[in-house]
Amino acid sequence: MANIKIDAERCKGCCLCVSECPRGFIRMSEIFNKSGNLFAEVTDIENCTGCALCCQICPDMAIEIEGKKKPNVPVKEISQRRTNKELMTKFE
Amino acid sequence: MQFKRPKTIKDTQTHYCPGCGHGIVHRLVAEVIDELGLREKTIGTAPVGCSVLLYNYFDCDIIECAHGRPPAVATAIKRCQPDKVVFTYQGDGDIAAIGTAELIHAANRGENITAIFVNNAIYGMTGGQMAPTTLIGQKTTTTQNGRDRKKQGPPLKVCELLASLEGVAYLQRVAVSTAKDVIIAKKAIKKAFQNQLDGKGYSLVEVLSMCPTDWKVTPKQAVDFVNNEMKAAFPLGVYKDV
Repeated sequence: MANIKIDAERCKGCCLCVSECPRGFIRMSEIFNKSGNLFAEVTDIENCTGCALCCQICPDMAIEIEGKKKPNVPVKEISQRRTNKELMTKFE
Repeated sequence: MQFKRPKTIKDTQTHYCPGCGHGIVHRLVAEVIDELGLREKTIGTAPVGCSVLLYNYFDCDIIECAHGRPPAVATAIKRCQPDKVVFTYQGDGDIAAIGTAELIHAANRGENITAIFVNNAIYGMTGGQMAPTTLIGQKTTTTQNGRDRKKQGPPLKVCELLASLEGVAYLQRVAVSTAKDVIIAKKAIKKAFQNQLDGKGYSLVEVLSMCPTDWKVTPKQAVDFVNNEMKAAFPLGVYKDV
């Protein structure tokens, strides 16, 4: 398991990581942080491979990752159960 | 694989809007400074614009310059202290509008400095007026029917402009709109700093960046605007590499 940590207080809720995650594991929270933003959270931390694409795109340096692992479920199967689509429509 | 916030970046939360590209460029510059081990001997020059508070976020020496004058200030620093690493961090209103003279002459003299130019095609800090790099047809508060080629002229392309100058060692245009582009941008910035250590001359990296607030779109739509329209008007690539 890759150890991914999203700092909820640094997150400004821009959703760039949500669209960048190749497996669709990141979605926006339903509660607000101290500065009044919805923040990004990981839905399936067990299957996160630690590719760090979310860290690359995060403008607020809110995501940190330790470790990397091989995927045990192929990408194609996982991307079908993206959970963030309904939530993303709120921001479009 | 490990991914942590670079040591050259302070813990302060940035003041940038959600989805702004400045945070990514800050991180890339800080990562390069960390990797090359330059933190104790780097001096940065900050522009006027959204990135005016650079000294709050970088854990190295930063000098705040008059509007458009970072190349001139960086020239002075580099000549007084040639052993230091000097970089300028400028936006498009700073480098391409009020600071064009300083930019061109610093580049033409071949000053041994590194320039990071963040191009978001609008004046962000002052509320979304037309910048020299605004695209044709793009709506801003001062071009409400879209920029007209006959009235305001075409967008200024800094990399193409500087490519003919002899003193310039390295010119590359990159973007920070996707993770792939960010990785390419980091390599370009690292090369620009390495050129300075090797004493090659003026190196400039132009970064196409997002400004969702002043483009009046969501961060996701701003990414699409960079990918579809800005990359078409400002082609990515290496323009000069001596």
